[in-house]
Amino acid sequence: MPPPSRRQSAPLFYRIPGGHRRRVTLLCQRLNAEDPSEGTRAALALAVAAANRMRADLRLIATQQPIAPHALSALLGRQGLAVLGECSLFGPVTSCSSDEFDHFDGELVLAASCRCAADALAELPVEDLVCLLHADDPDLPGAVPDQAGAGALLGRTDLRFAICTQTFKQHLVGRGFTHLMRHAPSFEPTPALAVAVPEPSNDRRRAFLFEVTAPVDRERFAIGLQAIERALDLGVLDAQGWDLLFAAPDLPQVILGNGQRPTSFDHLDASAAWQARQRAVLALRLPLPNAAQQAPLGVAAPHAVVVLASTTGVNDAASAMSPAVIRCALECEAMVEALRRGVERLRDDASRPQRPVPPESTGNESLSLEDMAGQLTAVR
Amino acid sequence: MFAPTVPAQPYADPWLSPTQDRLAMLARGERRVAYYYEEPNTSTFRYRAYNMAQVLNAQPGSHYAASYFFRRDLVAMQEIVDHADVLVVCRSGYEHRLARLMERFTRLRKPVLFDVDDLVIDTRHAHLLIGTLGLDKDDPRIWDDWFGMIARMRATLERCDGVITTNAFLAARIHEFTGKPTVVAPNFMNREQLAISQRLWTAKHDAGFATTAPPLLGYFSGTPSHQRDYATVEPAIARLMARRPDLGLTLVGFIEPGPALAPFTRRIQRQPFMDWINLQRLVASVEVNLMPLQANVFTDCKSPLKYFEAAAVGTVSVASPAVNHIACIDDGVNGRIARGHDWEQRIEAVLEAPDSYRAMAESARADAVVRHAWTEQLPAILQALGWH
Repeated sequence: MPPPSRRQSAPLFYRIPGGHRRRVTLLCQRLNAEDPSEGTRAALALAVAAANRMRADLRLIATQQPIAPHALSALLGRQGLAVLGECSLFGPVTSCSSDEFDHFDGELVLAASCRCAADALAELPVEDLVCLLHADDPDLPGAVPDQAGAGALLGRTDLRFAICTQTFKQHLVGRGFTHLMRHAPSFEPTPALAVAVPEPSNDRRRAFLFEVTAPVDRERFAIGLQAIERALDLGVLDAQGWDLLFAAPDLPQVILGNGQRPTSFDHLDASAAWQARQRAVLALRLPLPNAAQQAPLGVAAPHAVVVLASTTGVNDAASAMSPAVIRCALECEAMVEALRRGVERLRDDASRPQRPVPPESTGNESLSLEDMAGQLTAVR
Repeated sequence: MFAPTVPAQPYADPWLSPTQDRLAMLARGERRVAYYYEEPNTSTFRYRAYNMAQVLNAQPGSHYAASYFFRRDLVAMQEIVDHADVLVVCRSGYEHRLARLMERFTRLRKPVLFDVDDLVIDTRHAHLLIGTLGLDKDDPRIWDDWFGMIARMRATLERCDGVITTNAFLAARIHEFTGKPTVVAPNFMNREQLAISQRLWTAKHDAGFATTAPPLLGYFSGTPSHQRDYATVEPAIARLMARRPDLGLTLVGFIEPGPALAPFTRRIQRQPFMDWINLQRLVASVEVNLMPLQANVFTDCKSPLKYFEAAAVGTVSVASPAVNHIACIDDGVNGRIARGHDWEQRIEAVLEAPDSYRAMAESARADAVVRHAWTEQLPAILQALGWH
């Protein structure tokens, strides 16, 4: 298979003598600091932790859109991250000479997506690169066509990987990338669960997660809400059997037609999102149109069935990657039908997603964010 | 904006005197140094030759004498050789007349030193330098010019006995790349610059830092090579100007405001490149002196001129965390350090706290006078010349 063609936004690098200043570069496609995906937040947190540990500067390169300094500053504040060195921002990038970036030996480059890693490998020494794998990467293997060459990339044994969550690592291993088990450490981006997600009131109640990505589109939110109420009315969702978790920025307080009050997560922070997703066994997600980065694997990977309602054909990659993802149109009846299929899939032991069983101790259990940063920077 | 308290000053380059007069400056000293620079200018020549000579010549008695010469003076080459004990070649590329001048000093066992204020002595950094300056990489003449310039600098350096430079970080790089003994004689404010600064500071201080107009940010560029540095702070300026309808911006020198500032054109004062005496008046008038730099080894080698020249007139600087900015700015004490993402907050913090502004300005002023005034530089200069 020929290598993927080089994109217009693939960054160009040139080499300079090193050793005078340390630097961590985070290479991503978008760093939408006002509406970061889980993967973006994890990548940023890891890059900051690595840079601070190395007493290095941080360079953020978003290939496809500008990084708004004020939004980044606010995001860092929300995540409790402080950058100790310089923090340089670049983007968007064009493959022209004026947009070149210097690189020196020993610089740590974190690629926040398979596509970014593939781009960087054409220009940088493989030993300086770490590919961050996370569930929000729209270019994960399974996409048809695999334009980023992600399948081949994940098969490489000379490239360092860092996987965001042990659960997602299990998912990738289960998809056949078995070498990742021993050679790719995983980390948990939100070890401190600061926001409590209520535990089920009894063992039989399960968690249903309704998630709308920011900025909230009231119309989309209303359609989703309508579908959920309809599913409750029709008994597709048994009101007594489900804890309803609603997550969206600026979420209004909701009282459903049956009087039920869902547990709402306004400004869902990383730890709350992680915890909610860990609990959910069925989810309805309404991603932004064209927001392919909002992949549902972060929910599906643990053990859930995810209904993905969209007006566009996004997330083919996710559907292909996991049988736990059910796509449907952004219409009430289509969503209800998809939820029905999701509930049936949960009843069907054969097709039901299984919560990954923690492997026997191999000495490479999931690391904390700080420990992951320490491992990446240990030899630098 | 602080009120202009000192009228515009008449200005003429103080170094324009006939060759014979400058040779005569060497006649009276027991230890005599000739500084060489290709052409006089207000940047490198002023800091590295004129200012140094001023300090040496100001010492009582006749221990030291110093003068400066240019390419056009080399018709009197032998007289320069005869009159000086040490030659300091300031940031000059190799050429036949300069080579001959250096050779004549060397043959008489008179030390020849190379003085350089930028990382322009190693062609391995040419690519970085061209990128940092935002030059047209698709123009092959750019590559010829810069590789040629750096190679010529290096050729001059290689013929010298040692190197003098502006700061410890650059000194370490030069020693690392060349193996030459390298010492630091920092940049500083000369007598004239400090005198006008003293007047401006006194007036500002005596007025209790009273302002007469809405606040002003200032970006002061002495060369056309700082567009990319300036670009790092422009998003923050645009947001601040959008939120604060009274905020103005003064741009001095060769800087072009970007499209983000288009809505605020009426609040932007643009000034042409200005002589270094009257520039102090302008610096004194703004509340915040902006000192953005891209982060790399080339910019880390820059000395903190802009900081201490603003400090001398009681203006607070907000600066990128380049090596030499961090070395002299204690964040929140005598200025502010801003990272790429938090310029907006740092600038606003300065604007919104008049009490801490005054404290920072006073602290910076004291630092400028104690560490960066011409009166304090003799030991470093003597050590650089091997006269300690």
